[in-house]
Amino acid sequence: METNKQSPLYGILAEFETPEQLLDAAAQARDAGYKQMDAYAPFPVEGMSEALGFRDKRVPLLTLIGGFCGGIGGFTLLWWCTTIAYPINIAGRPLFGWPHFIAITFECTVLISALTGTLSMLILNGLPMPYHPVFNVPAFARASSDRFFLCIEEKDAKFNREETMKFLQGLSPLGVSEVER
Amino acid sequence: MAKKARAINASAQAASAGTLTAPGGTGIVPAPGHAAPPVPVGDEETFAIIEPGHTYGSISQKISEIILHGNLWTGWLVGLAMTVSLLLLMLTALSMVILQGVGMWGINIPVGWGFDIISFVWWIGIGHAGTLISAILLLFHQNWRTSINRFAEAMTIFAVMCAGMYPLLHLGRHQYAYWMFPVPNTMQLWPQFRSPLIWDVFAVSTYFTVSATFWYVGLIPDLATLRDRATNRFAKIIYGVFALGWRGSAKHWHRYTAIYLLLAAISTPLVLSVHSVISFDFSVGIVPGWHSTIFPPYFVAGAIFAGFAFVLILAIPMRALCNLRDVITMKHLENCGKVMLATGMVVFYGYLMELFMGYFSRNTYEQYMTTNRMVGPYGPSYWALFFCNGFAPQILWFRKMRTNIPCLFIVSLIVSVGMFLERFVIIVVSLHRDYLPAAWGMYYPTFWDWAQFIGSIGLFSTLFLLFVRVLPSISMAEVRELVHHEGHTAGAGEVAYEEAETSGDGQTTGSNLKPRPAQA
Amino acid sequence: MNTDQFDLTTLNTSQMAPQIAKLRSTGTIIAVVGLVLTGLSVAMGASAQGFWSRFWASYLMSYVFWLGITVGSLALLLVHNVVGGGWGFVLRRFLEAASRLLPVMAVLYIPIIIGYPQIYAWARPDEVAHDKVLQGQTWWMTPAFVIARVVIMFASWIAISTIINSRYAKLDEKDDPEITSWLSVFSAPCIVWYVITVTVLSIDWVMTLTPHWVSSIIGFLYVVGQGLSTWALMAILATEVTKGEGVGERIPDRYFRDIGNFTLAFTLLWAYMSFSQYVITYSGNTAEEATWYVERSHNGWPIIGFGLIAFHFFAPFFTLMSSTVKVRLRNLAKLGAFIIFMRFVDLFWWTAPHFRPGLTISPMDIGLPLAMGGLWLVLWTMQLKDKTLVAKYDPRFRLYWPPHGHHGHAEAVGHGGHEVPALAGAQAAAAHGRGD
Repeated sequence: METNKQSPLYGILAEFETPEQLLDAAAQARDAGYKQMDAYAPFPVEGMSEALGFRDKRVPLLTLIGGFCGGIGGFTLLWWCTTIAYPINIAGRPLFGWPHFIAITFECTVLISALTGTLSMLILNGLPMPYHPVFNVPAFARASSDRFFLCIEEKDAKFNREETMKFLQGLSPLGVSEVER
Repeated sequence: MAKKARAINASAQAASAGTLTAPGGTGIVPAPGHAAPPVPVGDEETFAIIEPGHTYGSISQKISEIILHGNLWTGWLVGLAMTVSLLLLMLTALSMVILQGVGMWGINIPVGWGFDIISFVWWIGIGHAGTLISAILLLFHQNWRTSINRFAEAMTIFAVMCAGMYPLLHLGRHQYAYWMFPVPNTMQLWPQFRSPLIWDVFAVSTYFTVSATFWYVGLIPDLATLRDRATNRFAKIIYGVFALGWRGSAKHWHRYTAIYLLLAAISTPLVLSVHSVISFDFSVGIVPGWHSTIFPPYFVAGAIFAGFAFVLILAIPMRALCNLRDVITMKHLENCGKVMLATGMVVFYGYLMELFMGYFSRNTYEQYMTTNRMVGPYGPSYWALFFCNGFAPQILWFRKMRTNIPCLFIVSLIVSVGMFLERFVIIVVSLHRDYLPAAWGMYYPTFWDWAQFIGSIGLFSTLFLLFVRVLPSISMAEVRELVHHEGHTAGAGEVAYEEAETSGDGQTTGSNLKPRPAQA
Repeated sequence: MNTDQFDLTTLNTSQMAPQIAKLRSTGTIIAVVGLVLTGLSVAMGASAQGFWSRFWASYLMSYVFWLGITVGSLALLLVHNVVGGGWGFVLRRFLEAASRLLPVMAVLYIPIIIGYPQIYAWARPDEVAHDKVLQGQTWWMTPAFVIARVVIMFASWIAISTIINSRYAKLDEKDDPEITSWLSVFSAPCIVWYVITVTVLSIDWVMTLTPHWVSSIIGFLYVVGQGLSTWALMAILATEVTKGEGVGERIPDRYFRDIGNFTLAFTLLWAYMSFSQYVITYSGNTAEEATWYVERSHNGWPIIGFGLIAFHFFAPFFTLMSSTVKVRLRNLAKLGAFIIFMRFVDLFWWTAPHFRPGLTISPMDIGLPLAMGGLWLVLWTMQLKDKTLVAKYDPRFRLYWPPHGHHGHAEAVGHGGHEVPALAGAQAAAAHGRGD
């Protein structure tokens, strides 16, 4: 713990060649008791969230809620405009002509749910985030092209500069580097 | 295997780019399921979704090179010069109409909707293929879409921009355009929500917003790749700003894939709704030739039909110019041909149903409208329409024709013309002779109609050329994922089934890991 | 996927004899109950005015449903021949069996010919003589011409069904990639023919129940309706037949998800097209068309209309949003039963109101569908001959069902000494892509 305090580390980053190695490394790190870690890959690796023990269903939930709000809101707007705010007789049709409201209600549902979902994805991911410690590692530039990284973070209870380093080196990575804050 | 030489070539390329091979033995060994069909095509063509031999690195390299160190300057500049001159033509026409009014166009009573609305529907329809490719095919796990979805989505956005311009111009009093939105105002007026024209405002603006969102979300990881690969400091900053700090964290990807699939699921009915709403613009009215219940599905099919034709028109030159034959393969072109054939049949079915119901209903006006379409003053446009959309695509029944690039290109051009004619027949031919013979009239497009339409092609092409130059026209992240999948299947030395048990064929997988999560 | 010791290709329908026998007895009971209910109606009301028109409309309703299942099964086979997909191998035998019932359905049409004058204005010469619109339609709607079309339709369907069934039979005997590619080429134009015939059918049999009314979307609506009914019924039948064998547990979920997704897609399409027809007619509000909805907007009929919105669309839609429903065949079967009920309600809404001033339901409205369905089910079980559950020699099958274990692997390679046919392989890969 002492070493933790004095080091301005964010964590320790190991670089791998294939997604399989990354999955394997993440699983082993979890088996070793590490919890605060993240994996970086140039495409969504199937099974990665499970390997890290990460679950989050808020994005679909918020999208759904957004959709309901949009739909109900849209329909209410139409009802209010045509029957209360501005009732006007067009071709003798009923003021509350619900078949004519369906299209806009649908569009509102879609619009609001798409925007809510996208914004919730960005916000929950903490984006936009111009600075992040992992970018301090030069090799990390390839995380968006063809390399796979596992970062065990300093905030993990089990984190220890030497031991974590040794542990990650034991996973036969291409390289291991410390991530400065 | 004539492929082999090329595959090795590709991997050599990859190796020189300083990249490593994909898992599962690079996929150079052509699996039985991937065997090239005995169809006489150029030896550069492949029927795989992606040419074997590509790795994560080679993909990133190849696609970002086009943008970051592109050497297509001359051709691109010549192209841009041409499209910008068309764009200038459009701007002239636009200024003319804004300054002088819509009287510059050929529209008048009884034909109040002319080239403006025809072009509007035409452009919107073209846009739909983009959403279809990116959304519906994603939901149905058709991973051949991966290489073409990005530029198809760009096509959607630019086409909707071109389309959206027309109704605004058509308003005549452009300064009141905001009246179409439910904005509280001092006159206490609200839009007439029982009119399909207002539904249109909502549908098109929602469509544009959601498509742009979907497109941007898809772009974020690729922008990060560009940020990381850019050597030019200015480019690095610009891409960096738009990449929002994306770092490919597993947590990011987790939420990202969730919303990407959801946006696909949301966009699918949206496409249907948008063109249906446009068909309502016509069909809820009682003008003979407009009021037909088949309009919504038949408009949607027509939109997809035109859109796929346009995808081919763009993809065929693009893959040649940017040397993308190994990523946009013959398989993509052939599949686009198949979709065109299928949707073309639906459109043709629509024509025949209209024809049948025109006479079967025994409604005088419907019957007259149908006869007038065939032998009236605009008769040739109807027959040209039958040729372009009904008969010409039938050639795509033959595999030989579907895999013949010049043939596909010509059919696509014919179909694009045909879809313009379709809207002409529906809009102008129906309006010019309706219920009251005393009010009949003719419609002739003026120079400004043509200038506006041809100019809008310039707007579209300019935007598209800029897009090809500054953004990855193929989704790198998704193609990398595809390489991952293909690498697995090919490496297993078996046919291309998905459920290759990773642990079973000698791959290194974690002890307690499932190869795939249940949730796809 | 715990498919390790499980080889689907060894599973034979004869192993499911108890389940099939049970289905057969269920079918018999259903048929008897249906006949009793119908008999009850006839006994009670045969003398009432307009009874026979109501009877034949009811018969038509149940006929359109069961024919829809039969032709719909043929259509799904055709679609599968062209685009492939794992679902087709799960359902292949059941669809094949259904498609062989077409001759029976042809025979069951004959009574309707007797009922023509009761339900169709164009079959009543005196009425045609006084109606200019009907006179104008005689180029298409005369009893002889309608019957000729029915004959052509059935002849073509039976021919298509016979041809593809015989090819399937060959495919069960030997491993011949030629057949698959031949089937693919043959089936594509057959799909076009299927859509044309269903359109003609819906116009001739259903649209003209309401004289003068036209709706050009009707063909698509019936294509979608047939598809939806077929997905729903096949989910039920597949569950019942494979019950207890653990097959459902051992087939990868994604095949059922395909079935679930198709059910969802068809539910959406049904709602979309029905709404389109309604909103266009409602907005136009012209005398010729709106009559159809006017008939259905009084005397209790709106209950059915709103019921359709709520239970033919919203209920299945929200249920299918849940992925736990979509991937379990048993859940899909439960939902399927509900969808089938709603399909009948929809067809009732299409066929009945013209003959009843107000919403009334008599025992025959339930009895006729049950009687016909029971008969259909019994005959269907008889068609499930001693065969492997999946078409194991279909070259495309191996694209979806990987051989398991080393033994299976070697065997498959042994079989697959030939190259997977280019067309089929490419198409299947294209159609299914990643395959999940």
